[in-house]
Amino acid sequence: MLNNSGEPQASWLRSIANQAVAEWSLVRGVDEATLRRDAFALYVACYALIRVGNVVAARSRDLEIIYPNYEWVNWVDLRNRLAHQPNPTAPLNPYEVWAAVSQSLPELIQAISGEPPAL
Amino acid sequence: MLHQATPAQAAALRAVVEAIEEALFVLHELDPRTLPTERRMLYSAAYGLIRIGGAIEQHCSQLELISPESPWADWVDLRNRLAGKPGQVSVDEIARAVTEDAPQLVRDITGAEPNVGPKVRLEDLPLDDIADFCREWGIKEAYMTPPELTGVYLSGPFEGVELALLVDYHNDAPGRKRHSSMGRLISQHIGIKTYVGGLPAPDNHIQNWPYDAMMARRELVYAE
Repeated sequence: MLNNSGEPQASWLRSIANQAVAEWSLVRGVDEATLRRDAFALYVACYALIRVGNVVAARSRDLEIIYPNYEWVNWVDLRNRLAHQPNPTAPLNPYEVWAAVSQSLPELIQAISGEPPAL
Repeated sequence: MLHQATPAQAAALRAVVEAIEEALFVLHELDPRTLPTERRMLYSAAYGLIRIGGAIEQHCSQLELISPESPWADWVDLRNRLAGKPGQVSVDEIARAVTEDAPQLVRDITGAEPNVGPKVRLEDLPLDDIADFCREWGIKEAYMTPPELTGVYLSGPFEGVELALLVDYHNDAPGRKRHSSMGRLISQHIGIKTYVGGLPAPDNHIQNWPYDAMMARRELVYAE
């Protein structure tokens, strides 16, 4: 996306990619088993995902129109569910968090920049 | 607040206490001085506050009835800013909410200190009883480690575990054959709900256990 975009879209995309890479650097490599047993790691991952969802949410309507092939809304939806769960005292779903961290986040970075994040 | 609450209000208050104690349990080793530099600590604190704010928002109508003067809305506002506008929340605000305001809210609700952190300390353990148990079942060494590192606090049969022991058996120890029963048996023996796991070795432990953290924070409870 980034290589084919003019301004201001490129600026939005760079902002999202930078945030995603920053959060990726914090949570990369975490596995589902760790998220299941280590609530500290689970909390960290959840907040990292919320922060990514935030920057996507800031431009999601525009992005959905310009880049309809990417499911931007999934990030906003994930952010909302992690931050505004119907039952805040219910256990989190470590699998969902792990899938977002290990698959959706690098996919987002690759979708924007054209390259997967460095491992 | 709890003693003057109706059943519905008490349920709301307990939900708030539960959310706070969960967050404080996760953060029980938080050093507020590390928040500006340790991003993982900052994130976990922020997410704990989001969970607390969510619990308060869910029950705000009951909470407003039992204590209209309490700043319930401030907690929800903090949750909303952390979730939607993180740049509007300072590190100091996060630190104060986690280390001062949240524990104080539990005190205001229950009249007691939050029930968080390691459930029991080494000096609280009946070491003689544990030694008797270890000798009976052929345990060479036993260490206590924070239960949360073993994951046993999350749910299921280990919910409410107060003590996690990592043990090493003799090769022919009777306890080795009945390892899965050791937690229940020692719980009955010492009167503390206990999880018993095998002492992991560096090259032979369950994949992805927080081995380093468990080893760093273990305390010797028994050795032959």
